[in-house]
Amino acid sequence: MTRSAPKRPAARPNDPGILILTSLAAGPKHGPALAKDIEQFAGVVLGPGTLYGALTRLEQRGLIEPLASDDRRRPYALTAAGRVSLSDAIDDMRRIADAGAARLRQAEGLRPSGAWS
Amino acid sequence: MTRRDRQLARLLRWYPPAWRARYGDELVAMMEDTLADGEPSVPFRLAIVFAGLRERTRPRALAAIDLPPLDRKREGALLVLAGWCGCVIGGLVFAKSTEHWSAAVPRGSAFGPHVAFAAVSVAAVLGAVAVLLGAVATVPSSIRSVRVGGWAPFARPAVRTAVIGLTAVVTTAVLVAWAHEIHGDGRSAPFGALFLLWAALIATTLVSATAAAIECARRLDLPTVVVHIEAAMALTAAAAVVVVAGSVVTWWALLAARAPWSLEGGVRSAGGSGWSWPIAGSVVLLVVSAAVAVTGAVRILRGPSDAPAPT
Repeated sequence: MTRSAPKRPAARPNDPGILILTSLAAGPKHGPALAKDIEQFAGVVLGPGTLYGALTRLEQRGLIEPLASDDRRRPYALTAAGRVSLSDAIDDMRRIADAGAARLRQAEGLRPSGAWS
Repeated sequence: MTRRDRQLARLLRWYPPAWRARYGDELVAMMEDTLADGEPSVPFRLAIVFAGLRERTRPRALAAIDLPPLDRKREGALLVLAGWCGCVIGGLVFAKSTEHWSAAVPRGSAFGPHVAFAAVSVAAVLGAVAVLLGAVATVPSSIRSVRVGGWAPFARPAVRTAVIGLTAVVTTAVLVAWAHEIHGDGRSAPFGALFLLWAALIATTLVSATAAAIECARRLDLPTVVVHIEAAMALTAAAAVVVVAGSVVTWWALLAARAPWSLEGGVRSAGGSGWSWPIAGSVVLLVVSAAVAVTGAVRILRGPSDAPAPT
């Protein structure tokens, strides 16, 4: 029996918050390093305004926390709540990916084999 | 400070003060890294402007929760003052557009519009009294400020407003003298265009005076009791702005339903759509002013109190 979907909006893989949490799962980073890492693994370019808007939301929700720094480029780290939130988001995306893959296999299974002749 | 530093500092000002205090340095550092040696492009600037405006419209920023309570009350009162300025301009447009409305409305249909119009007048007077009392309450602090620090901190906004105001006074005198010399058909398109220019000049004077008052008020060292008086007067003025806006909308709706021709200057009982561009413009301005005033009132009322917690 398949697990029913949780009653919350499904995570989107290109959501800046998800991308930031994913990047921080590999270790603390400051803003410019986050943007560079996200561009490398996701191919998404986050401008300064978008990145810091998402950082603000994540910090206000307690999913990330700032670390002490002498530099203006303050690093951020994932909190325990942030790990849980990222894990839930990954489950959502995996569920959607699995459903999509299964339906594609079904659709391919129904197609007539061979070329039209 | 280099030219680019000034550009980035100006872009940062689109964000609310509390956000800038927390994240400003980091954002500037990231903008510098992103731009490297280049100048910010138009899309780059627009992206920062929109991001800053989005932060300003977040509930936390609108209520200025992160400011200390007294600063939040002061900022709220000044925001209400900005809303009041818009209400005065919108009210003047409304007053000019409705000079002879009651003569064009049939007696049986006039009660509701008269009540709404009276509500506008009463609220406007109450709001004006509240703003005046709020201004008077700051006089002792202003005198003290000038005695201690001189006129320098207040000179620029005061001189700017004085120049614009003097221009408005001279222009008014010239136009009034000229208007008395022309009659009937002479008051045609050029006169109308000049009147619009004059009205724009008066609006500019009001905006400049309000901006100067806000700028000077921010520099004053106000005792706690005066801040509380300002907050109380601001709440009264905010309520007045909301009543003015609501009453103007009500008046317009009633007149459009019962005597639409009166809004277009037509002959009595001649139909009409009830639409009037000047009144629509004043309504837009009044509604925006009410939104600004209510935001100021929310800042005054919400968030932690400055009263000490009971032990």
